[in-house]
Amino acid sequence: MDEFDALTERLRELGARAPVPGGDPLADIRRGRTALRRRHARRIGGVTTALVAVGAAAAIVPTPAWPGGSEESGSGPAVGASDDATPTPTPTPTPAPTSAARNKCLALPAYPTSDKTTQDGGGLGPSLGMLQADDPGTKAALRSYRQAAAAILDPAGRHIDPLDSERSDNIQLSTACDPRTGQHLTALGTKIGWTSGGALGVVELSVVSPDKDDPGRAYVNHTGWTDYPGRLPAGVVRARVTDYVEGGGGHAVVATRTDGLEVGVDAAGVWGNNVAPGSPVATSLPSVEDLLALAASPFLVLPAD
Amino acid sequence: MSRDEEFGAYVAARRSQLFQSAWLLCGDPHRAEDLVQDTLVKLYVAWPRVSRLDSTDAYVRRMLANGHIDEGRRPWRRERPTGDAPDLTGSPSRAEEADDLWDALRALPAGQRRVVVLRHYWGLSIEETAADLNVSTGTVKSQTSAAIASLRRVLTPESVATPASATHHTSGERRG
Repeated sequence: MDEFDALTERLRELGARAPVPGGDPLADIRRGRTALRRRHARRIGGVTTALVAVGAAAAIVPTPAWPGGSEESGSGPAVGASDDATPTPTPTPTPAPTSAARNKCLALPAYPTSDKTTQDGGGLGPSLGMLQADDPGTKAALRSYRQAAAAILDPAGRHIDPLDSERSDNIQLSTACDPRTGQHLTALGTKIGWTSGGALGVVELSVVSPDKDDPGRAYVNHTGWTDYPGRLPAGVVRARVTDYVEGGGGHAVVATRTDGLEVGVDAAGVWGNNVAPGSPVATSLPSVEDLLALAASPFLVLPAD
Repeated sequence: MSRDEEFGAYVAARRSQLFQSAWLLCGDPHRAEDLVQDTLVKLYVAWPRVSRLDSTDAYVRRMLANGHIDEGRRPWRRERPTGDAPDLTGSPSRAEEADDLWDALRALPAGQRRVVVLRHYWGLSIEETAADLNVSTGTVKSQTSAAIASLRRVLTPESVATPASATHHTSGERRG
């Protein structure tokens, strides 16, 4: 095998080991709908601005008396400008079939959805359902996660992002759908900024339901897991820990709890997508023991359906 | 099916593969997720047109590669490649070999990494890669050659069995 073929084989092996997150197609649809809505708004806004500008110009600029022209021809320039600004008809999105015609789950493989009423339809046709990220219970649970993280990992409030930080709106979730009962959360988590020595790290939490097929993000993001050698906190039946060096380094724990939930807490020295490459690394990360205490916290549970 | 249903089915089937590609391109799971999300947002907006194409996958692959190029143009995210593949000693295990490749891949300049991922992970020809990246075939060839030269030490594990061989390995040497 030459280098070319060797690289192909090795790269495909490497790609297969990628820590694929449990992406939710509904979240992608929601983001797409938002982008589409903004694009339509920009188009409408642009046309409106052009019309207002033309109207203002027509009102302010005196109509010239074109030599040898009639009254109509005297208004030639203004008419020409108006023609240029004639709006292109905005495409009208095709309405989707009504959700009433749907079952609890769409007939798509591994495609979770809900038939609850959504609030983010924005006039772009009937919605697929209120997405779990917009659910008040989900929001309350995430706030509870962040409060627990602040209380346990950084009681002095020196490192962790405050609750009202702009960076504290991150949501990581996975859903599944039961044809009879509809959509439900199988994992919920968030990323919280951790500032230390001018560097921005991140603490990532994930609470994973026992009926989720895939392991949680913390587990798939890293390798080298070993059983925690110390005493387990109350409510934890097994804990695995790892120290890693990639991405600025850090450590993570995954706790299997007596309530069946698997809770991952990952403290990384660099918040990969929020800092420039080569940025300093947060060194004063919370200890493994603190991460484990947070993983055992009764505040880290999935919201009730 | 509606746009949402078609798009949702496509995402459910392809998201993992897209993430794997993005992970190799970006060298970071967080950036990879951002890149995949950005790509899928653009895909959703363009879905009525894209879904009529013969190869939606090819279009999405191009969106992903272009998204990676666009991201690299943002000054605060501009990569600073080290240009150095990791020094290796001893006989690494299979898993460690993969990590070595991961480190070496991340050390490549972004342009070379894109060419490597498109040619070797997606299996594109030189011409297809050039078309996807909007560069000449000569650029693809030269970047492929430069990338393989940089990755040579991790592609031929025997050559790094001793520190000496790793130190004195030259670009002209290769194992068949």
